[in-house]
Amino acid sequence: MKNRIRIISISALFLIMISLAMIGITYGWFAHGIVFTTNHINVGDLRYALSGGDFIEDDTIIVPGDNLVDEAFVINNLSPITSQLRVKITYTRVTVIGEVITPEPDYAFKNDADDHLVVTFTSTFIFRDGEDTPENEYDDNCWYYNFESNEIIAAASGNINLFSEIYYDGNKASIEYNGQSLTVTISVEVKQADNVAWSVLTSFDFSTG
Amino acid sequence: MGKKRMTLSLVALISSVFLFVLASFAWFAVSEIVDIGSNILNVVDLDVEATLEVSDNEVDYVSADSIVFTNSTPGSIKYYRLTITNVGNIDCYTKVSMDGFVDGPTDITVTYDDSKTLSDVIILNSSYNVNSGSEVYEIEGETMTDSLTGTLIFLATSIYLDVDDVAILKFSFLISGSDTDNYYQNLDLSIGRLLVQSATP
Repeated sequence: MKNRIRIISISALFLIMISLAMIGITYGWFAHGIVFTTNHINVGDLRYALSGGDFIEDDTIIVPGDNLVDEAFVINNLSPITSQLRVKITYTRVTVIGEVITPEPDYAFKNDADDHLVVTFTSTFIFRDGEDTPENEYDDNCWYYNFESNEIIAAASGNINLFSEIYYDGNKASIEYNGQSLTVTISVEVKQADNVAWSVLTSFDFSTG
Repeated sequence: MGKKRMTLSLVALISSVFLFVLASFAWFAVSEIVDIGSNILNVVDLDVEATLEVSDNEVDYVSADSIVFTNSTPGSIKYYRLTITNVGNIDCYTKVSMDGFVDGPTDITVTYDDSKTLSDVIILNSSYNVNSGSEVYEIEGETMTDSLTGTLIFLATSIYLDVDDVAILKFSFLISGSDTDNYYQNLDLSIGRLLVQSATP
């Protein structure tokens, strides 16, 4: 009895499935599908490493003309994507204002007549102070790598030389610097090419203590 | 109890036989095997072809097998074109969708922020025309996250194609420049399927 019911049920189910398949095919009920697989969208990442570079020992007593760079600074671009790089140099400038010796910490190096610092870059860096293009994104006292030719750095471009010499100019830095604590800070910033905000990659500083 | 089950089974069998007879009639009624009167009807043949092409400038397209947009940077854009042709013998509706979105790193050896998803910063555009007619805009400058309907993104919800009609579906992926910052690095978005589905009206 049970076997008969089972056989009849299976037969009925089979016929129903066959019938539905026939009707579906006949009237085109079944959707026709085309599939494209293995789709990927991705973004790369910024990979920079310091290849070389060092300041002289902190707390060293310096005089104008002493090079603060012990080893020329070089960074290695390993990024799989295009990027941009800029450097901001700030230092302690000491001036006499109304016969009062006045240290100005974090004075931005612009390489103009008011600067007391000399920096020897070992690649092309262009300073953008925003005076030429007010309200431009480059209004930030930074030195831009290869700005005039093409600021975009190719993926995995390898070593980028930064600078080899930093010293206080003896023609501008005089007796007012005597006994002052001085700090020079180099901030290296990178970003993905165009449209994004800058991120600090690394910073180096030297201090007389 | 046993008799009742047997009765029900027999009813089911008779019904299925009846359904089978109806299905067979339908099959032969619209098949060219059987000539009814002077009209010869074809079996419905729902068939659509689709070819995918990719471009960096929206002008020069080359053939593609899938969506591949790698090592992009903010502001990068990739254009795709899907040519859909109704090669069957019946009109149909076609929809194009993407699904199976999975986030991960581009390079597993490099750290990444798994709280971020590229879907939030990829801007989608999608439009189509049929037989070079007027353009129908489906998605206009929305992020992939905003374009989601459940687990699907519909690039085209319903393209009506007569027999031999050709639809051109254009869609693009833009890595947003303004909303993207350097936190969006080493991120990968896998799209399981780009699916073209057609059904009879």
